Amino acid sequence: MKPGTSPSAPTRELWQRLKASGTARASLLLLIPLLVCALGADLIANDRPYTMVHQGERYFPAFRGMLVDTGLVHWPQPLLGVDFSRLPRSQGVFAPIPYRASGIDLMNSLTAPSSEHVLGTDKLGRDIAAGMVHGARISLTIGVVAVGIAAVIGILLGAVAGYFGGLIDLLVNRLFELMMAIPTFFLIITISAFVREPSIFYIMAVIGFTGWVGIARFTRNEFARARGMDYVTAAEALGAKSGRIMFRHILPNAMDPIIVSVVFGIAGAILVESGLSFLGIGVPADVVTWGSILNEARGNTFAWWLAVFPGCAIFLTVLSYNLLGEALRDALDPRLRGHLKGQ
Amino acid sequence: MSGAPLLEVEGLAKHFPLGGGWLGGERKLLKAVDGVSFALAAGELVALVGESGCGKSTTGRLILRLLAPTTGSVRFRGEDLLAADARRMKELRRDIQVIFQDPYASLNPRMRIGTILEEPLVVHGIGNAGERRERVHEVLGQVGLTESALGRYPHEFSGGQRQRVCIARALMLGPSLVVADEPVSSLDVSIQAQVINLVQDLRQARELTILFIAHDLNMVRHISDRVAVMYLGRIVEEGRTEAVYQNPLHPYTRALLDAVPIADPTVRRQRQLLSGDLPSPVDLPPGCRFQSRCPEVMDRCRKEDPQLIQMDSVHRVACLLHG
Repeated sequence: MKPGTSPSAPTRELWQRLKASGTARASLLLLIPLLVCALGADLIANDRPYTMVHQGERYFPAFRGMLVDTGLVHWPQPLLGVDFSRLPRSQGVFAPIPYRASGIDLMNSLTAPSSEHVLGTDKLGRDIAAGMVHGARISLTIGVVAVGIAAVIGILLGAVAGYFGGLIDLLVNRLFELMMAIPTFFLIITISAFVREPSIFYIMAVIGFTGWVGIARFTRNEFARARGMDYVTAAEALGAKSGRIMFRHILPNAMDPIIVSVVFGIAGAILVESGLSFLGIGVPADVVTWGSILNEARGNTFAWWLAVFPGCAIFLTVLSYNLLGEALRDALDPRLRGHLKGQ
Repeated sequence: MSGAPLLEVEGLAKHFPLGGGWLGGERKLLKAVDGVSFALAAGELVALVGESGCGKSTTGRLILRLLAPTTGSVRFRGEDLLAADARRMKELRRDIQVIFQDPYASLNPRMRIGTILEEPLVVHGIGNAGERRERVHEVLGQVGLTESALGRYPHEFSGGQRQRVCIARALMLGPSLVVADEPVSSLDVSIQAQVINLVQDLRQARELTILFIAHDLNMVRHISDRVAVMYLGRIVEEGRTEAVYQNPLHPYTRALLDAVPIADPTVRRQRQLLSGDLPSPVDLPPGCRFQSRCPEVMDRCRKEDPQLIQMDSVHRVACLLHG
């Protein structure tokens, strides 16, 4: 083996176990299409054509549009007056779902799935298929960012408590118990009551700041265990500072349960977001998420497509993250089987 | 011993509280180390020998200031280690290094050997990347490992090779004192000699002073200048190696020497083997600590606690049979 190329034993074993695991494969089978949807949402569902000829010039509005949305460039002069959603389909090459998620069309309110709108439309005539695809991006972003915030808080607090022990450990543990004693969902609803202008970022932050306890506890236990290991004592004997010992020496060895906990946490965060959107306290009204589509099904019980499609999407996404979490847990440490769950 | 000692340990003690003492209950103390004094001259190799649990490893950790002693002092080149602040202590750590017993536990499983060896230099801000790499290569050669080791992880090596890595790590900063905490006890017998020889070679090449902690008297006979025998947190006999081996004065030392097997089945000898168990270091009996297992126990031993007394210029013992 060439020097510098061999993976560490844990990493290599992890890959082998994951490859052999049916659970892992099943979860990836579900997650990969979801990731494709999330990353390529603008190419899968877009009311702007990929390419079109207008007044003798060729344009690429779908791609240009992404830059326009970021504020970096402007539409070229000839396209300024064009309403893409009313453009005849024959005038350009369109995305498979030629609608955007929030494109209101009151003429087509609550249409059932048809060749025009494959998954139907909601009360405002918004295309559900486009909403589902863009909702995937929002769901995954919320899951990852919220748990990212939770992981940073959880790892910092857990590391400090586990490494220093004593009084600090005692106090941080009481904080864990305090957080666990408050039902997170109600805490989020309460906080929402004080927020004037809800946004997706605020939802991510709230879920993140309330969801770190599980990660923190796993981190704390791993650090407390590593504290007495010889390789940590050796680093101390070298004169390494506490921060270096904690994050360079111990953290890489403590990652296993943290990773598993993060993956379960993503599933939890997606579920919380859907729940909030369903109750109508999550994201602003003009943002379409799976939860908000589901919310519309409440008032329009005959429109089964408003309940079935987002419901299935939430179910499959949460299922796939939970499967991935379980596969990782079993692959990282078979002894943990059945013991480690999300928050 | 000539000149000022490099390391002086005086009255060193470590008592671990065992809970209790809550709401007026009696607080129990585990006396792991209970008044240990010795000194190491520059360039000496002193062996600290005793059974498991006698406090020899704790003594090593106290000297390294990995544990805070209950009482006592540790002086390095005349400087009180326990009074050093964090910054001074970090400087001193360049001079005092450690090799642990278990090379499987003392190397971080998620770090490559190259990173592990570079770590001491990085921590102390020595050299730039190129100079550090050069230094790593140099020390790697001295412990008998090749460059191909640098990109690998600890699990790819045998116990003996790992212990070489640990020795290399301890040498990276160029220390003058090395505390070797049973460096070969967890290795195969066939590998032990190799590692011991390596320690010997390095000691000569680098003029190291070594505190060699071991539980096997036989192993340290040929490498140590002096031997200190520990029992239940105290040194019971200490002296020049030959003096201790040829004329062991403490019944415990004699028992330890008798326990060393002789590789000749025809030899029969009068053995004095120990019976009974090590008393708990929590509830020490009054008088001599060794009374419950001593074959020559006297009435006096149950009342008086023997102190280390100088028998001749190179030999000290703590036993009421002597003096």
